[in-house]
Amino acid sequence: MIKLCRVDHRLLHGQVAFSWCHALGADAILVASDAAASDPIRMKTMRLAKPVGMKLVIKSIDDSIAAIKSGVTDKYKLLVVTGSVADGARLVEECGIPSLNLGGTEKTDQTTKTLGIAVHVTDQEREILRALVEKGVEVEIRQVAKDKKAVLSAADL
Amino acid sequence: MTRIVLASHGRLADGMKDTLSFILGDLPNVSTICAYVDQDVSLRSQIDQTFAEFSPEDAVVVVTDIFGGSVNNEFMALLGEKDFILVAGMNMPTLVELVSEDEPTVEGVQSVVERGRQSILVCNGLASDESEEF
Repeated sequence: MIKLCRVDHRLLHGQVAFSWCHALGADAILVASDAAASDPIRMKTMRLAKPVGMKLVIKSIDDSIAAIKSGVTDKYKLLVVTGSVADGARLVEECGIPSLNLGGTEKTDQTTKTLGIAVHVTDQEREILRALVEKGVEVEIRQVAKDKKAVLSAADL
Repeated sequence: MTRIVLASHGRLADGMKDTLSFILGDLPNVSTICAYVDQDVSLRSQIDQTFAEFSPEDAVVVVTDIFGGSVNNEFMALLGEKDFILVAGMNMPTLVELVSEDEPTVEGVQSVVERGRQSILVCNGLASDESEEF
């Protein structure tokens, strides 16, 4: 089952590997990212840095959705990490995941709103998130597992 | 509850706690002792003040910066007097694991330190595992 679906532009890093895996009791991590799945150096680094005893699978978004839908991930306590709001929204919608965690998105020239610490979104991303909220998906901000869950309403976006 | 005390020459302990909180979130059970920052305050008084906040049921783990340093020496001298586990050589991988440990015992802390040691690596030329599948 999917314990958490997280948007984090840094993908697999300290907060995810130590705080989230421990708190969720996860036994597998799926990094769902077209960019990471086509970057051998990035894949190598993540494989080296994964927590001991944890299964780490890196797939493109299409392959990730196919894997989740096929049921092969059902037996795992799975943490899904993806790099962008658009990718997170696709995963949530196509796989029927009830909640999306926003952990970190980079501030750029295009971002127009800061939703919480380390979460910056563009107009287009605000639109995507609003649509999710309106469909009843829980969209929440937490950097680490111990943080208080800040659930967003359409008005926050 | 479990109490973790980070103790260092200068401000390393505060810095370690700052970075630990960045990774793990708020850590109310982690205390710090930065020795010799204030010339007028003795290390012994800092230690006494820190321990005074704990209750007798608390399990205490002290992690110092370096074995053989005066901070660790001071705690070594206290091992017969107070009940706590003492680790020398603080580093992030060990602390991340230690903070996630529920009820620390000497054996438990020993294996945490062992795992931390395995995470101290020269990264040039490391070979990564094969890719995994579900």
